Parts: sequence; structure tokens; C-alpha cells
Amino acid sequence: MQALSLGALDWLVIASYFLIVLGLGFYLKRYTTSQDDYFLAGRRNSAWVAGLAFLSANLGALELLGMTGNTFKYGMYVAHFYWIGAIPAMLFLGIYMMPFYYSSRIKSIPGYLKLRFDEKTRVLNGLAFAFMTLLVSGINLYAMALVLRTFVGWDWTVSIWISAVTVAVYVGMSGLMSAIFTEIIQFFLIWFGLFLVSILGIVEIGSVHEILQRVPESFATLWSTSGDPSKNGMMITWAGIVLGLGFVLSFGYWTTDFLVVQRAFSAKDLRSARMTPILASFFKMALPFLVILAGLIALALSHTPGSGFALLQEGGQVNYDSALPLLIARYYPSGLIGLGVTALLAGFMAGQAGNISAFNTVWTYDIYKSVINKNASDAHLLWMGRAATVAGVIISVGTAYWAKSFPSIMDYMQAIFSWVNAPLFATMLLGMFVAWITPNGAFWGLLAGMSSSFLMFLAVKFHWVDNGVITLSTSASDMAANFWRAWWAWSICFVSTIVISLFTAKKPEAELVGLVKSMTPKADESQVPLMRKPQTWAVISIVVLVALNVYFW
Amino acid sequence: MKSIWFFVGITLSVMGALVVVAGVIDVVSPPLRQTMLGSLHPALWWGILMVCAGMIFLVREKKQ
Repeated sequence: MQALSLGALDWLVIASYFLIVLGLGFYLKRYTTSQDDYFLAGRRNSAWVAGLAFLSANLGALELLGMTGNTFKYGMYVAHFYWIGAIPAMLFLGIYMMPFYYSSRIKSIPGYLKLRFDEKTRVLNGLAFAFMTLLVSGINLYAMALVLRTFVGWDWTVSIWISAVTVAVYVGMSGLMSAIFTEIIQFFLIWFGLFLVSILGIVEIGSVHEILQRVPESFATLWSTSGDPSKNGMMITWAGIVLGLGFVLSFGYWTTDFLVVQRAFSAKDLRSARMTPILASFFKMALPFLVILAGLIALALSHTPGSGFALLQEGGQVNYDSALPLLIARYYPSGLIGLGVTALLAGFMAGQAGNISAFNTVWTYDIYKSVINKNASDAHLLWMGRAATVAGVIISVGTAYWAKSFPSIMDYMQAIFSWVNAPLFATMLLGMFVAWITPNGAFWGLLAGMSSSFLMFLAVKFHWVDNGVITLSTSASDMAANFWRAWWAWSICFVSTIVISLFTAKKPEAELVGLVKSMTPKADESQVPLMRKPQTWAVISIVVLVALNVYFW
Repeated sequence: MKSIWFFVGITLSVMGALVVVAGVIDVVSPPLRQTMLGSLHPALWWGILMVCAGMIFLVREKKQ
């Protein structure tokens, strides 16, 4: 494929995006005067602002390209990532977990671990999160440079440095506030920049029904072929989807990953914080109409003789990530191409800004202030946050070059989440809902969960054990292996934490008030109108989720 | 401090206007390489939609 040809107006669209985000950084700097402003965006955001940022922090271009490509590869099963693999966890966060997070006035997830358990559990999770965040941030940069080089013909090094410096400037100046602002702008740019692909695809093919008719039957259903892994594109059973993705990976990511939860911490009050993931759940459910639909359109076109549509081939391998850029090249004239490229750029940069703003908070509070300088002043911590932003961006650039030397590094993304987030969810769940879980139980359980997940990954990678031992199936995709490894890591952490807690010293009950459900007085909500209650909106969200799953069964 | 919706309005209006200009140029002087469904002039009407959306955000902000 020839690189997309950009005209003067395309360049103007791209340049206007850079000017707007840099201008935002400068504008917001004057309102960023304290550590709360820098790390928590002043805690003054409405549920709508926090909710859109909560969703957008997860909506990187890597996900857009990857999920469109995965739909081409696995079919409609990829929608599970947006529905059962996200919505129940987001609602659980809003209804059950957010009151403990928000009311304890913590600045980060490791901060909760310090209050509920002890310092060593906080530092262990802080270090793991910082490592994971910088790795993901670097991979994000690497992926962006790869896409821009392949499809727009831009130089690798120039792409990496321009976006890295832009992110360092606007996050460095105003921290989480500018990260949230740009994430919301990115949300609108993604919809306006990419949804037209789906619209024009439907117009060309005729209807959504016709699109589904043209793809293989096993690619056009959600659950009806999940009884037998050999009959669906993802080669997975319903049990793997429900336990691995729907429970462990999903809850591990959406309820404990500070990258997304930090956005809810920026809400102005507890109700807004609880509504943050609930509102986001409605937008999350809409995303398959952008991402999955585009993937199915690409698949349908490739099955249509004479359409002239085929994915790129590299070294005999199909490049699934080329699906979305090829559709942009097919449908977008000058002007719109600039908008499409800007949407991808905005996604990449907002994804990196999200990682960097989460990293600078965890580094400053959970590693620097906790271990290195316990008496740091407010002004010093603000300075440290800015220094951590610049350092984080530089390390990410290094990670991006490191990722470049590993051709299959993208495969490690889900694996990294299963090392860090899956066991952490077991620790959080037990910590919030079981009062007798002890600090030592949490620490050693978390360590056991993280190391076992890493060992399982190595064991399969180097063929010490067969993949089937972990996936309980003779045929399983890499994606299925990630789901199952996450499930085992969660289980090992869960059981180890319980067993060790039975034999180690508990925390005094007085220290658990506001941190554990049974130790916290229930808030009186009898005077709150029905439509103001987060629970009401959570029920509506569940109803929509069930309806979508039944419709596409 | 101006709210985020003001900046969303500015972004959509500016980018939409640029896309409209590209769409008008497409109509006046059709490109040599025609995209699939290019005859529908998607840049023109999509750009107009973006400008309208941007203006809604700006007007709403001005009222508040």
C-alpha cells in the first residue's frame, strides 16, 4: 500500500490539533498551583467530565487499531471486550468500590493499600504499576511511530519525539487537568474522525444485515458458538470468556488500574465519583459500533469478489492492524484524511498522557514520598510531579526504542496486565470486603499471584509446559491463554492471601473504618430521588448490556 | 476557568471548518484520484456536521 497522501488542508487539521493541546497546557498552567491541582485536577470535575476522561484514558489508538484488526481475525467475539469484559466491572467500581476509594481521600490505588494493609504492600504495587505504566507508554509510542511510518510515511524518530515532547509539555505544565481535557477532546475527535468509516462502509455494502451476511457465520455471533472452542474465531469457551475476561481481567483492569480510576478521583464529590464509571459504561457499550463494525466491514469487503480490498501482508503474515487505515484510505478524501490521522494521533497521545499522569502520581506519592523523602513539602511534591513527568516521557522514549527491537512485543500487552492487575484485583476484593485479611496475607498473596502469572507466561513461552495445561483445552488462541493465565493468577493470589491471613496478625478494627465494608456505616440515601441514585443508572446500564448480548447472541 | 466544553467546541468548529473547505475544493475541482463513494462528497457534509456540533458547544457555553 502506498502511504496516505496528505494535502495542505490535512496538514492544517493536524497542526491545529497540536496548537490546541499545547495552548490548553499553557492556559491550564495558571490554574495549577497545588499538588491537588496537579495530581487530582483540583477535585472539581463533574461526573460527565470525569466519566468521559475515564473512558478515554482506555481508548488509545492502539486499542482502536488493535480491536478493529482483532475483529477481522476473531469476529464479533471481540465485542466481549466492550460488553461483558467491561460493563459489570465498571458498575461494580461505581456502586461498591468507589465509596471506599473516594471517601478515604487517597491520591492513588497504592495509597489505599497503605491505609488498608501496610507500607510494603503499597510499595510493591507502586513499583509494579510504575514499571507497567512506563512499559505500556513506550509500547504506545512505538505503535504510533509504526502506524505513522507504515500508513503516512512519516519518519520513525521524528514521530516519536514530536509526540513525546508535546505530551511532556502539556502534562508537565498542568498535570492531570490537561491530561483530562485532552482526553475529552480526543473522545470527540475519535468519533468524528473515525465513525464516518462505519457509515460509508454501511452505505457501500448496503446495510448492517448485509455486512453480517457476508462474513463467516461463526464470526457474526457473540455466544451461540461458545460451547465448542473449535467453532468460534477466538477458539475459546464461554467459561474462558466469563471467568478470564468477564471476571478477572475486566475487574482487575477497570477497578484497580490507577490509569482509569484516577479520573474518578478527580470528581467533585462522592456521587460524581460513583457516577463516573457508570456514565462511562454507556459510552463503552457504544464503541463496538465504531470499532467492531469497522472490522466487520473490512472482513465483509475482503470476502466480496471485486471489492479490491485486502489487508497488508508483511513477511507472509497478515497485518490485521492495517484494517482501519486501509478503510480510511478507501473512503476518506483530502481533509478527512487529516481528520482521521489526527484522531489516531490524538488517541496515541492521550493514551501516553494518561500513562504519564498516572505514573507521576504513583512515583511522587507511593515511591518518592513514601520511601525517599517522607517530609517533602507541597511545593516540592509539585516540582517532583513535573520532574517525574519529564523523566517518565524520556524513559518511555527509551522503552519505545527497546520495543522496536522485539518484533512480537505487542503480544506482551495483555500478558503484562495479567501479571499486575489480575492478582491485584484479588487483593483489593478481599481487602475491601473481608475484615480479617491481614497486611502480611495481602503482601505475600499479591507477590505469589504476580510471580505465578509471570512464571506461567515463561513456562508456556519456553515450552516448559503445554499451553493446554493452563487453558484446559487442546485448541486455544494466545488471547484465550491470556484469559486463563489471569484467572489462575487471581485464584493463586486469592487463596494465598486467605491462607496466610489465617496465621498472621490482623490490623486493629478501628483502623479499618471507611476502608472495609463491614466496618463502615451505611450512608443514608432514603432522601435521594430515584433518578439521582447511581444504582438506578447502573440497573439501566445492565438492562442495555443484556439486551445487546441477547440481540447479537 | 473556561470549561472543557468550550475547548471541545473550538476544536470541532476549527477542524470542521477546515474539512468543509476541503469538501468545497473537492466539489469545485474534483481530485484525480476519486475515493470510494467520493461522489457523495463526504468531506463537505461531515465538515458541516462538525461545525454545527462545535457551535452547539460554544453557544451552550456562552449562555452559561
